[in-house]
Amino acid sequence: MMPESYQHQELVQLLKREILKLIPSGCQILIQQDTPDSLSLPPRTIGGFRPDVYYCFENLLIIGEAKTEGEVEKQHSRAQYEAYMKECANFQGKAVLLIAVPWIERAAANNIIQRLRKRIPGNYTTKIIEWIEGAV
Amino acid sequence: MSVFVELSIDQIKIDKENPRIANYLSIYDPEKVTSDTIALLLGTKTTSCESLRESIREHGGIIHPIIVNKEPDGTYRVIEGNTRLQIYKDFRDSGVPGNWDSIKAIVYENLDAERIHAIRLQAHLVGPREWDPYSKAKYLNYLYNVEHMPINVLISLCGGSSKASEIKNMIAAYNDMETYYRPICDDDMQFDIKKFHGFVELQSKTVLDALKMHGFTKTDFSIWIRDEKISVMQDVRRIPDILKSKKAKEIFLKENSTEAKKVLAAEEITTEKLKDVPYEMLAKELSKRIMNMTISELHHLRDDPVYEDKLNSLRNVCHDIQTIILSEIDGE
Repeated sequence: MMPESYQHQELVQLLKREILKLIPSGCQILIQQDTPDSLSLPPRTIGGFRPDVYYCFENLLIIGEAKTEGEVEKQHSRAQYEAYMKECANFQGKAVLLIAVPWIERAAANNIIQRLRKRIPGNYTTKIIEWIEGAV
Repeated sequence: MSVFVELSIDQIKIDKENPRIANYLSIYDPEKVTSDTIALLLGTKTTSCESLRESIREHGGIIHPIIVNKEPDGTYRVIEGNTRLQIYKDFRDSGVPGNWDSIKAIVYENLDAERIHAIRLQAHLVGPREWDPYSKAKYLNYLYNVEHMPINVLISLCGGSSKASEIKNMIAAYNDMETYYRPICDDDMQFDIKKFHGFVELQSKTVLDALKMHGFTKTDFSIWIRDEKISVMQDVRRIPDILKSKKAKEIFLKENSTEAKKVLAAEEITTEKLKDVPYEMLAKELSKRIMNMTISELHHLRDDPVYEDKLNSLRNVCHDIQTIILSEIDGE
């Protein structure tokens, strides 16, 4: 696996902090991360992609994806968002998709996600988390 | 008149008009933005500032003094050097060995606005720590349209006549973005400052003429930007060609500029140009294209009458290869 950039690592940390707010206390051990220093990998790919952070327990699914500056609008990233949103839409329970981006990318990420939401309806939540350099 | 002194860092205020901070403050409630957030926006604790931090640590201080203005109430406000001041504050707070309580500063007293702007422009529009293009344009527009700084003064402060058209385009692009693009965005979450480059490209006379000639307005253009009809901002330059071609225009309005450019590329290729290409090369290329075809293209071929010609061409080539060539070779 390629080493992730400093910015990417920061974004993943931000995702983890956000997930901790959403899950029951004591369940943090169930958060799975796709990082080089982590042993726990997501059990399966979603539409051929592996999210950066993944949590699925009982009736709660959370998918977290970190996108650095310049990555947000790439075709590969769009395919990832689409796959994750489909996964959320098909989940029986509460599903949340979190996308962490540098704050300058907030509008770009928001616009893509809103456009995809029209194509992939469902009872799930999407949230853009803004990152300010050095905030974690 | 200026003096060179060592000032206590507690006496100095960060410059909140720095566009890197001002952009953020325009989105969020300034009352809720703490000084810590401002420090983060300046990025002083990050890898991008690492070499500057190390240099200051190594030398036990800064080499080039920061520039401050002593204001009528006796406080000092940074004109140039926010980042260096913040690094001092970080070092002091985190106990880095050394004296970080005071910083070398050139102090001006009650500097007028024009001089302050001149120092800022030199540092951040043409200097080593440039702002992002939208922030630059916002600041230039402020100086020109709010402070009414004469354009020739602005141009000379930004590096002379070679920059004149660039500066005018940036101000015009900023105003187009605010006038036509912002009103069609639902909120700040939709208003994407990274689209600024597209509005700079819009200032080209060729592009503007093409829009007018085909009955489109700057609002239409902004809607294309918002709806991602223009896939990459450089494609704005191709708008005249796209609008000129009936088919490319149709595909552009239905899909996006990437698809429209494919139509233009196809129109530029004539059978005359292809006739000398060996058939095995054509076959390999066709095979590669088929293998890389997107799902949406497949859907169009299946359902879209506009794609009927394309579909028929594929059917015809399959039929010809099978019935004329392969059946002869394979003896079927």
